Amino acid sequence: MADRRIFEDREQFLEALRLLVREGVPRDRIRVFTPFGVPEVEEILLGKRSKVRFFALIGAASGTVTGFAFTILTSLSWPLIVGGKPIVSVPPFLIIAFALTILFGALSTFAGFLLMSRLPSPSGIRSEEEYGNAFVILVEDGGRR
Amino acid sequence: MAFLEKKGGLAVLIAAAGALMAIVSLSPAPGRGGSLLLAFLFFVAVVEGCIAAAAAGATVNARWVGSVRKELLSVTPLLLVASFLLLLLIPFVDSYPWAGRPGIWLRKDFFIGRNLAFLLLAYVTARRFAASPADGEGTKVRAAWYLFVFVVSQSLTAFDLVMSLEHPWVSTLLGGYFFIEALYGGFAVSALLCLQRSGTPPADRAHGSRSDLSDLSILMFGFSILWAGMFFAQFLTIWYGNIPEEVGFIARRVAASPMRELSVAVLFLLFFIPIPALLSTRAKSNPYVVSVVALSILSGILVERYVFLAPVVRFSPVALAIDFACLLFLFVAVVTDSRRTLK
Repeated sequence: MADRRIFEDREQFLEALRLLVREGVPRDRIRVFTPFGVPEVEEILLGKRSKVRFFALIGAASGTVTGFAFTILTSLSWPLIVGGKPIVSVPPFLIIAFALTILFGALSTFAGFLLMSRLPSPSGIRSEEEYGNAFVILVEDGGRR
Repeated sequence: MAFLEKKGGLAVLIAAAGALMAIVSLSPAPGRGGSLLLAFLFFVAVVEGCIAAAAAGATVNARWVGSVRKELLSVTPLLLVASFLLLLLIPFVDSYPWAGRPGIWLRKDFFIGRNLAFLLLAYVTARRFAASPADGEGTKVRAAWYLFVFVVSQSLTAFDLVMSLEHPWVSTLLGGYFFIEALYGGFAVSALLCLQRSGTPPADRAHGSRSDLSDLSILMFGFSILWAGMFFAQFLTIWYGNIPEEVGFIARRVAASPMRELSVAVLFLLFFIPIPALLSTRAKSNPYVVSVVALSILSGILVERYVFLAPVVRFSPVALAIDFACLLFLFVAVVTDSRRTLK
């Protein structure tokens, strides 16, 4: 049976969460439900940092490489001089590389999030409990997880 | 700084520094006006940027503003010093390339008049904002008014005092570039003040809550990207357009040493150093990293102002040293005085 604590106030909720961690309750036994994103929760509960950031880094780096490769190779395979500029002109290619960095980085992060969360699983995405505007802390029993 | 504790000590210091700068800048030796212009451009960006940082924070209820609000707003009287410095620049305006030619916008009296009017307006709006309590009614409205005047004042500084030096070169983006950079500098000063004031996080900041320093680091990180975006938007337009007077502006600054190295240094100081340094979460709350980044940003703004002026303006090293020493001393004096009254 899980211990459930419901708060209407964000600060009280955070204080209770900090207290639980200070008391030595294992972080993996604590679950929280919040009506909106509360970044402090991650800082309090995360013992070690998520591996999703590596997906973001690899995705972004591959986006940069793809952006430059795509623009440079297409320009070289169909060389047209535009406005007297060199065939391979880095300044305008930078925009494509930047856009693909963001795109690939975002998609890769999302894919990494799905993979690390063992999603997509409809039961995992949607919680069975609904708490409206309340901030909730669930401390699960030791053997449950 | 014991002198500050006497009644009217700060006013006497401001008057003495103003008088010294007036004597130096009004002497007939070459390069005095250019030196004053460089000092003015940097000083007004930092002072207006400090108040703008506090105002921007106040409009969004930023938590970090609370710890440095008093110090940031203590620089408000320095806007009067900036107005005085602008008056000292009147003889120098004759050396602008448009001087003596008929015109409506670029006419000496209107040129000085509008810049002076907006500096004084910035002082009035900043004073009204500083006088209102941090969480009082109407504070956000006063902050918004200051921000509006700040944007116009910095834009005018860019268009009039810098861009018209290279008349007929025109850039509609330079105004925005200047006020974004001033705000960027304001956040850098806020971080330094925050560090100087509270070496260790306050006791009420429990585990898991971000420190004010981290918030300021995130702002500096974000503004470094915004600055690079503004820079690149300007650079790409000039590069693609290839219009002689626009390309000439860049060519004069990258064609020969040492301007070429200084131009590259600006890129590093304002973007390539802050970005990797503040990338990790841990670095954002590391006092040494944040200090280096904040100083890098302020140095970048100073070097960039120099790069803007150097190809067309003469400088006097002695006048430059005196002007910067006076302004730095005044800045430290008003901030120290505000801390003394806090105790």
